[in-house]
Amino acid sequence: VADDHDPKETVPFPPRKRTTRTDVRAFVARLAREKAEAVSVVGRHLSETARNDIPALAARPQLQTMGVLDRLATIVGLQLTREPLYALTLAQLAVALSDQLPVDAYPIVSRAQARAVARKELGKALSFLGRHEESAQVFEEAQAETEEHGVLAHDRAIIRLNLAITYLDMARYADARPLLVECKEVFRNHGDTKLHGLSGFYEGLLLQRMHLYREARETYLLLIVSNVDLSAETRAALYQTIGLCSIELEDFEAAEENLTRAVRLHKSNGSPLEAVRAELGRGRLLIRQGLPEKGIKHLRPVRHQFLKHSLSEEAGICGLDMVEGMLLLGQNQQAESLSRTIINEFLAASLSTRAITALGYLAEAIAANEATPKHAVQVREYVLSLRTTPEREFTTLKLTTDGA
Amino acid sequence: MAGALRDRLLFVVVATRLAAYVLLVDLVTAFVQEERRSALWYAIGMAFGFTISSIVAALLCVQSGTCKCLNDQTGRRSVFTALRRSATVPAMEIKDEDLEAFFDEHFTALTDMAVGQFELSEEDAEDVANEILLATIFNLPRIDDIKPWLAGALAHALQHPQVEA
Repeated sequence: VADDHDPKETVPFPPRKRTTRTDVRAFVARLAREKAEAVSVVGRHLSETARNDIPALAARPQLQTMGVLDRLATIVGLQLTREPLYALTLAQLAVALSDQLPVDAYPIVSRAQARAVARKELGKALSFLGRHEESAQVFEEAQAETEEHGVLAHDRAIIRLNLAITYLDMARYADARPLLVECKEVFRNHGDTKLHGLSGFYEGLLLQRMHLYREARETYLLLIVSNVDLSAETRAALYQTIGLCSIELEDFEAAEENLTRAVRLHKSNGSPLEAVRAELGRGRLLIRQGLPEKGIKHLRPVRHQFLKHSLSEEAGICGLDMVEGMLLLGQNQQAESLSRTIINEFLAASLSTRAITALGYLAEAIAANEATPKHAVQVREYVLSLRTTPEREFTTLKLTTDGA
Repeated sequence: MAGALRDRLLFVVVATRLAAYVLLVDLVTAFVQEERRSALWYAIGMAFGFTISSIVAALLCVQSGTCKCLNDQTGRRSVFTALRRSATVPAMEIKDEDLEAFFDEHFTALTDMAVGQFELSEEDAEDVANEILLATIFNLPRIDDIKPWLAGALAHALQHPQVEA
């Protein structure tokens, strides 16, 4: 990496307070000691403190250490999927503690790094809870903490990756894309194949959400052929998304090849449910190929599997693919009946009322003989879009005869 | 101990599966000869043999820790979650006994690179090398290959001038 760098373009390292080898050793020794102590210190404080009083712990000097911050980051990571609100409280505590780290105890760069990491964890907790606006703001603060330190480029890139993912969830695609491109480059320069691959994956996802299927497919294909360290699960997911993009591009041969490969890989990875999701893609492919009867036959057991696992939303999505096929065959009665069944399933699972409204419109349109297969596609895409933009209004999406 | 147990389990798998295959042949023969009652008994025996064989094989799998299905994490967007989790590894993990060797090896490599490729003075090179090592301590658990990581950190550090402290 450094070989590509032209020395003439570099900026001379400016005069400033020197960081010596002694500073590094002292920091490492202190960190090791603090980390060893933090397990019991943090455990004791958290067990003795009521949850409402946790923010007040920020004033305790014995908790104002980087060892404690490290311990809290670990606990936040673990609690995020178990008790996200508790994780949020702890992440907020970590941010407050990071602001009170003793000035003379740590090197400047390490304090900045600790503050940035604490804010990054808080941003992730907020993002997990769907509080995307706040999350983006906190990630920007985290990024600002690293701005003055060139050696924190990798940390900054991780924060930007998280910010980009949050933007992706907020459908702010234009903001997300340059961040993903930039941090991918930083990870590549650091030889960090895992995060490079992850950034590439999100870049593909972004393009897919922007309906730029050709570009998305290229991005995914580049990831597969690159020497990025991909797990078998990731590889299977990539084949699956390539297959789905290929359907949209009407490249049916490639779609069949990649989806079949994804199904096989998911099965060998011991992920039967993921294999069912890839089978959903194969069913959709048959319908798009003009074989709706075969498609519906293929999708019936897939839908059954989703329902068996109480995945009502995915069963509904699958059902809408079947409705598309039925409308292609002119089986309006069956299509209407299935649409109403999906509504009942969504109601029973207390899913989005917006989705239910959209399905209701579709059922009525079918009953009035005004629906076309494109309408089923529109409603399916709307229901899918609610995952990332739950506030999106259905009224903005008109059921038009040309499907625009 | 574990090896002996594995050998015994393996023996049971092979023996029961062989027995089941023998019964399968008998079952087909009985069917051909229209001996319905014999066929029924052979079928029961065969099913029993395969069941025992499968249970023992599963035990063997668990015992050797190779059973992938035990690690199966289903659920929506599990792949995305797994991917994203790779960016959330808690920082600051380093073995004390490895520290000295780590610093010795990489401090020298970094300063050599800073002087040789980026034309820094010895003093500046040592300074930036120390800062990079400080920042690296935090990130060590996520680093697979330290050499390109440090080279990248150096290149980025020098493209990104620090302000006066």
